[in-house]
Amino acid sequence: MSVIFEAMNSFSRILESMNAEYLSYTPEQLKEMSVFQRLSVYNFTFEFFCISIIVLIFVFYQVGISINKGKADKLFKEFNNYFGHDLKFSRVAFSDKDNKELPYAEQEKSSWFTSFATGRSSIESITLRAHLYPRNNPISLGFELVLGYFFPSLKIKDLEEFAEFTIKPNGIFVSTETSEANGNAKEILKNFKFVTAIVNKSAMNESRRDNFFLSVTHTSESDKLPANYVYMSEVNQFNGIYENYVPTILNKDLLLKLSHILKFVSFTDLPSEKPFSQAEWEANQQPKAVIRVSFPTSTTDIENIKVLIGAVVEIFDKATNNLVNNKGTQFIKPDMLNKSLKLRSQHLDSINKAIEQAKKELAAEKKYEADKEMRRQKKKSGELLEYDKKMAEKRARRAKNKQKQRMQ
Amino acid sequence: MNPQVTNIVIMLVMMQLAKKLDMEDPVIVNYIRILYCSCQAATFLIYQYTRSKIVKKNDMTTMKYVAPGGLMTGQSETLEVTTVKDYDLKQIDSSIKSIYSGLAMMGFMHFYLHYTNPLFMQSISPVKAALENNEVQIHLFGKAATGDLKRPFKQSSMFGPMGGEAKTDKKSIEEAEKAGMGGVKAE
Repeated sequence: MSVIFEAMNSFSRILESMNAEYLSYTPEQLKEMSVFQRLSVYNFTFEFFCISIIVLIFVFYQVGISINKGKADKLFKEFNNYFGHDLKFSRVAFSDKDNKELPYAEQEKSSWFTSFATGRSSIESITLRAHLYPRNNPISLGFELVLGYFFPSLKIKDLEEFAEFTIKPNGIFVSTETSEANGNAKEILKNFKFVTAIVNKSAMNESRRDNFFLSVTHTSESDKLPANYVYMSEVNQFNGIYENYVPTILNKDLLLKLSHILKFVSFTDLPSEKPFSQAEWEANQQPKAVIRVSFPTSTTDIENIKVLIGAVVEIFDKATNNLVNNKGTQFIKPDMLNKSLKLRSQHLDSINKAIEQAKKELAAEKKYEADKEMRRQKKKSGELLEYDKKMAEKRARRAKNKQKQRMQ
Repeated sequence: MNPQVTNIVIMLVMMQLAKKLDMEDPVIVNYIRILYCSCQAATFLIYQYTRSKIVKKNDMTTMKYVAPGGLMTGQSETLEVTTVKDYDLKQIDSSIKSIYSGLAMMGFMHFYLHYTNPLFMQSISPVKAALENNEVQIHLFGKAATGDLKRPFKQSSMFGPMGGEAKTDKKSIEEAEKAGMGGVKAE
């Protein structure tokens, strides 16, 4: 502490020495001076330094925000166009109260961006969520990066720049705009209750750590994938979904082109966050596909991601069409879903067991506290000795009875 | 010879040498500083060269093992699914970070507390540790990753492995794989 005080002391001495001339005047002498004279005697170097720091912070803030917005504008413009024109979503992005179109919603000083598209056969919605470095505050960013390097366990989640696409199916298939929607959407969606993913090998650990649905899967390599990818699935049979529906689109070539940015592409109905109760488990089950990539900046990467999204949408299209129209060519078979269901019930059991255990521990803790309090009260009133004597007698009686029973 | 025995031998030799040096003489202090910095630089270069070899090799073989939980942190066992390349990079990066923490510690002791002795004592050990490092043995000296050099490496500690060894048997891995430990929201 003394080091800090010493430093502060010497700093204030330096500041005082800067205005030695001004401080040498007596208050009477200063009173006699005009305002201009006083201003000319005073050394404003420190004040100018402080103001320039504030201006610099403001400039960094503005530049950081404009860089992030520029990056987001490029990405969201491309994908909003793709969702509207190529994938034929009827509603894309947002509009404000004056009906002005907003390409995205932004949060936390332009470091989080979200867009949304809805209104399409087979797909309920696509949500695009992107995160960029908080460039508006370079000091905090630098500090976080250094801290993350030296103490990885203290690193905050979502520090890196990424984009995540969540594609939710709706179980409705219509071939034309005038076709009638099928009424068994809920039944159709039950066929998407499984987990399978293609995960980049360089992101296996972090993907499993950050996503509950991947942490319940088995990891396996395959010749069908490039060397830097693996399958992660509840049941290996689900791995065939990509090859079965879109063999020409989701091929080795595309995955190789995306290998420097693609973290994973997955089909799941389980949540990213681990559920800690049966109610949470049941409430958060929603079939979806999740694609996570590092924030793409080049046009080639954006084009390749579009192809990947197109492939996932096509899987939902084809699977929903087959299921709605009973074409008999469904890839997802009831026996596969049953295997997945069995695993789910095991997970649910383990969650329930953990809750029971936690409840028992809480009850034991409460009992211990109550016991402690009772002893404290008895000690206060002088009944403790008597109480302990009674308890000792009770224990001795019980032991005696037990012995008697054994003898008989 | 056992590295821990050689460490003690080196320490004893350095202690004897340190007794013969006048640590108050600014010329000798400067020589000791040069010795310490060159040894740290050599260590850094060995690790960086090994790192570049790991990156160049780009071994994408998948590795699965159950990492032991932390005794002090109360953390449970966790499944690690990684590649040989990423595992090697993690190991070598932690060795590089240890150079930085050593430099910070020595900087504090030498410049703030004005001790020169630790600077002299700690000059050879990092180079020796770098040459004995498992990654350096595999990638620089071309030794096979078998026996003691088999990944995941055994923890070397005077008091034995803290929190247990990494498990690589099929049963433990399968259990950990389906344990559903991911997605825990940070408090």
